[in-house]
Amino acid sequence: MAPADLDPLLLDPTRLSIVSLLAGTRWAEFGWVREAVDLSASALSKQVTTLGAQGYVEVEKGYVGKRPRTWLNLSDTGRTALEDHVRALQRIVDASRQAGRDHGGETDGRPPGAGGPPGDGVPHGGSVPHGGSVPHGGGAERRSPRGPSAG
Amino acid sequence: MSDRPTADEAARALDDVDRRRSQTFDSVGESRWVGVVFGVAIFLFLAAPDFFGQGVTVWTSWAFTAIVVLYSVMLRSRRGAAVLGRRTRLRRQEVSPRFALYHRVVIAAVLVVGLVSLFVPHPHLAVPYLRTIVGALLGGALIVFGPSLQTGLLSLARGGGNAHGSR
Repeated sequence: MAPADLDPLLLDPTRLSIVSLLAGTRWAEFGWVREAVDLSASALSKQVTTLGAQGYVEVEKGYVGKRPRTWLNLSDTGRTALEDHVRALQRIVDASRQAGRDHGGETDGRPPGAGGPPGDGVPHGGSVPHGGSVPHGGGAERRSPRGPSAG
Repeated sequence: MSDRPTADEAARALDDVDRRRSQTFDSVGESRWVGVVFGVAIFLFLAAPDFFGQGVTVWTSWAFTAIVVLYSVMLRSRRGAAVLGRRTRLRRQEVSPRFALYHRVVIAAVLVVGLVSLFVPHPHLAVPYLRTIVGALLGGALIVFGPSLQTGLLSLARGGGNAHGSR
């Protein structure tokens, strides 16, 4: 595993949540992101400023009628950073699983369960099911990440 | 999370990434009035010839087209989408390719059937106020079932992007 691939900025769970939310959108209203990640406006603003300083998130302000609105979108830099970060995270999980298999914890195609290597930290048979993927639709892709998006 | 997350932390972070991306689909919705406007527009478009004669279809067709074009243009701009009640715009890559294909096929089929029905005479279908009835059914269905229909379509549309935001 190359820890260098992990983005220090995205190691913060809140920032990772914000960037992940924006990854699925072309743009999103500040208010929607705030509700989705359950942050106060000032806390989100601070995180957005941090992400914006790195060039990950772009901010556009405007008015709809007389009401001020702020829209956020993930820049290409941010998207690439997220992809690299997720791949690096996936490698950590995969390496742990491989270590579990090498130690003979998995002989019948199932996760080692309680037989996993002590301290590997992966919830075998729990939130990380067989095959090294994490629950949810993207598991299969995660095992073989594709190239960066064109945006 | 430390500089070097454990496998457990990494798995949780990956899970969160997926969950957040999926959350995007839940945000794709519009204000109720948009469905009402379209329902009424469909009803008027279909019912008008029954009351004002066939000649009115020229105007109703233009008016309906203008509404559709305006809606499409508004959806593509942040301010326009905000007026419509949309708080995000989904990336096209997030939509399942299979769903996108079916979506285009259905739209093409509807257009073809509509065009053919315009030019093919059907004297046996002389039901009085047929257009009004169809308009009321379609418009009413859109107003009443529009939001749940949209939710259903969105659930089918999930699955385009993978877990990392890559394609």
